[in-house]
Amino acid sequence: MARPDAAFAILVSAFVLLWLGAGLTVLGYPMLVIRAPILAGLFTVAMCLTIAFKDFKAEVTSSRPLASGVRFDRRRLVRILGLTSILPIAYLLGYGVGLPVFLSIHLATNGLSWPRCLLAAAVCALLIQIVFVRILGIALPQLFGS
Amino acid sequence: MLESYLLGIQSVMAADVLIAIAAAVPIGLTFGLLPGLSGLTALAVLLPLVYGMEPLVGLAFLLAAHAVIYTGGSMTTILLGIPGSPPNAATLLDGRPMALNGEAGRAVGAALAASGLGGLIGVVALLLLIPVVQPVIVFLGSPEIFCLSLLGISYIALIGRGDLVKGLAAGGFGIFLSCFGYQDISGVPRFWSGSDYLLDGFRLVPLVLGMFAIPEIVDLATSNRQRAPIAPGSVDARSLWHGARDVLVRRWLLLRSAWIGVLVGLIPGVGGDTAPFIAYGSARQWAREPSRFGSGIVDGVIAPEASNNAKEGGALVPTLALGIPGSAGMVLLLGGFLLLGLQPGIGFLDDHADTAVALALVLALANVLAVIVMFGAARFVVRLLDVRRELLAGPLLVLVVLGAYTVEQNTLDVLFVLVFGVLGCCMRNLDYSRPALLLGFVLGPTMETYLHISMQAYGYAFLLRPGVLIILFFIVAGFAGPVFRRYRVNRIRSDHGPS
Repeated sequence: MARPDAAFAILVSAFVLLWLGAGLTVLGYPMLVIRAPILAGLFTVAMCLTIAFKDFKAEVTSSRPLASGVRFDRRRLVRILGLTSILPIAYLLGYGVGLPVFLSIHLATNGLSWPRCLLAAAVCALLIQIVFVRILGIALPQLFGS
Repeated sequence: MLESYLLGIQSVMAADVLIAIAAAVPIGLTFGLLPGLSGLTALAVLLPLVYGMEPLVGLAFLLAAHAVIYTGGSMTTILLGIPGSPPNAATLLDGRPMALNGEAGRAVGAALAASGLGGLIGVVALLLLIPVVQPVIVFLGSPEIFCLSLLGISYIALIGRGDLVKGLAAGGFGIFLSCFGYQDISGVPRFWSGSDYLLDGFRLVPLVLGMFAIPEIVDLATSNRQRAPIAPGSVDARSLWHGARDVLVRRWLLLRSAWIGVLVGLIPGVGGDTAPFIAYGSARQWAREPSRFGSGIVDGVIAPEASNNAKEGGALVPTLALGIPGSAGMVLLLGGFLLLGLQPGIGFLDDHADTAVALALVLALANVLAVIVMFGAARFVVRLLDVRRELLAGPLLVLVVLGAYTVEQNTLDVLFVLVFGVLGCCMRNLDYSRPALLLGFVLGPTMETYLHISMQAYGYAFLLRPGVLIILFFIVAGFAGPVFRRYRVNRIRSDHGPS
C-alpha cells in the first residue's frame, strides 16, 4: 500500500463523517444528543486530515519512498485467515467442542505432533468445562449457536 | 477514633477473615492473568457466593480478589504483551519493550514491587483520609470532575509516543466510539442502527481484547520461527530482585504515582482506569529523558503499576463515606455491602469506622500476599515463553474468545473482538496510540455528562471556579512542556546548523 497513513486516516474520517451525517440528517438527532459526537468527531477528522496532509506532503518532498506500515505476504495472510476460522468452527460445533477442535487443528498446522494436539484439545475441553461451565456457570453456545 | 482503629485490626486478625483473604488472592490473580476476565467479571461472579457470609468475611473476600487483579494482569501484560485488565494497558507501553529487550525479569520484579508498595501507600492514604474526607469530596462539583476528565484526555498527547497528532486522533476517535448507544443525559440511543446490541454501545472488554490481544496474537501466529524467544533465565530471582530494587531506588516516582492513583480513585465518577495513564504521563513529564519512555524503561512500569493498586485505597473513600462508588469495581462492591446488610454513605464512617479500617487492612494484606505469591510463581508463568511463539496464538485466541463471551454471554461480543482486532492491527502497524483510544473511550461519557451538568448549573462561568482553574493550569502545562522542549531542540539545531 503506497500511503497507508493517509489511507487509514481518510478511512477513519469517512467513518466518522458518515455517522455524523446520518445523525444530523436521516436520524435527525436534536443538538443535545448530537453535540458530543460532533465535537469529538470533528476533532478526530481534523487530526486525521492533518495526518493525511503530512503523509502526502512527506511523499512529495521526500526523495525516497516511505516505509510502508503494512506488509502482506501470502504465508502471513493464510495464517491470519486460519485464526479467523475459530468463529465458524465454534459456531458450527459449539464452544465446548469447537474451541478444542480449533486448538488441535491450529497446533497441528504449526508442526506439533497429532498425539500432543489431541492431548492439548482434551485439556482445553476439560478446562472449559471446569472453569467456565461449572465454576463460572456460563452457558456456552452449543451446535449452530443454540 | 483510636478505638475504631484497634477494633478494625482485631477484626481482620480473625481466622475466617484471613482464610477469606487467602482464598480470594489466588482467584483474583488468576482473573488478572487471564485476558478478558477483568476485575468487574471477578466481582460479578464472586458476588453471589458471599450471600450468607459474615459481613466482614464476605467483604474481605470480594475486596481482596478485586485488589490483586492488576498485580496478576501486569505479568500477562509484560510477558505476553496482552493487558490482563484494561488498566494494565499503561504498563504495556514500557513493560513489553523491556521484555523484548531481555529485561523481562526486571520488568516483572518492578511491576510486582510497585503494585505491592503502591497498594500499601493507598492503604496508608485511606487510613489517614478516613477522618477528614467528607468535607473535601463534597466541595468537588461537576465542573471539577469534568476538568479532571479533560486532564486525563490531555495526557493522550503525552502518551502517544513520538506523534502528538496521532495520539490526539486516536483519543478523539475513542471518545467518538463512546458516543454509540444510550446517551447518559437524555437516554436517547445514538447510532444504534436498529441493532439491540448497539443500544448499549460498544463494550469495553471486547474493545480492549480486540485492540490489544488480537494484534499480539496475529503477531505470534505469523512470527518467524527463527526468532529467539525470551530466555527463561531472564526471569530468575536475581532479575526479579533487580526490578524490586529499582522501585526502592525510585522512591519519589513510587510515591508520586501512588498518590496520583489515590487522588484519581478518590474522585467518584472519573473511574480508576485513567489513573495508570495519568501516572505514566506524569512520570514521563518529570523524567530527565522523556523520549526514552516507550522504548523499555523501568520508570514506565513502576508509575502505572503503583497507581493501579493505590487507586483502590482512594476509590474506597467515596464509596464508604458518601455511598458513591469511586470506580466501576466499587459499584459491585457496593452491591456486596447491600447483600450483607450494610449501607455505606453519610454516617457510615461514624457507625462502622472499625469496618472501614478493617477493609483498609484487608487491602494491605491482599497486596502483600499477592506479591509473595507472584514472586514465587513468576518463573513458572514465564515458561510459557519457552513454547514456540506461534503455538501460543491458538490457546490465547481460545482464551480471548471465552473471555469476551463470558462478559454478557453474547456472541456479538466475540465478533466485535475481531472487528476491533482489525482496527488494533492497523493502529499498531501505523504507530497510532491504542491506549489513547482506550482512554478516550473510557472518559467520553463522563466528560459529556459532567459538561452538560456544568453548563446547566453555571453556564460558561464554571470555567472560573478555583478548582477548575487549577486543573486547567496543569492541562496547559502538560501541553506546553513538550511544545517548549521541541522549540528548544529546533532552535539548538538551527543555531548549530547542519552537521
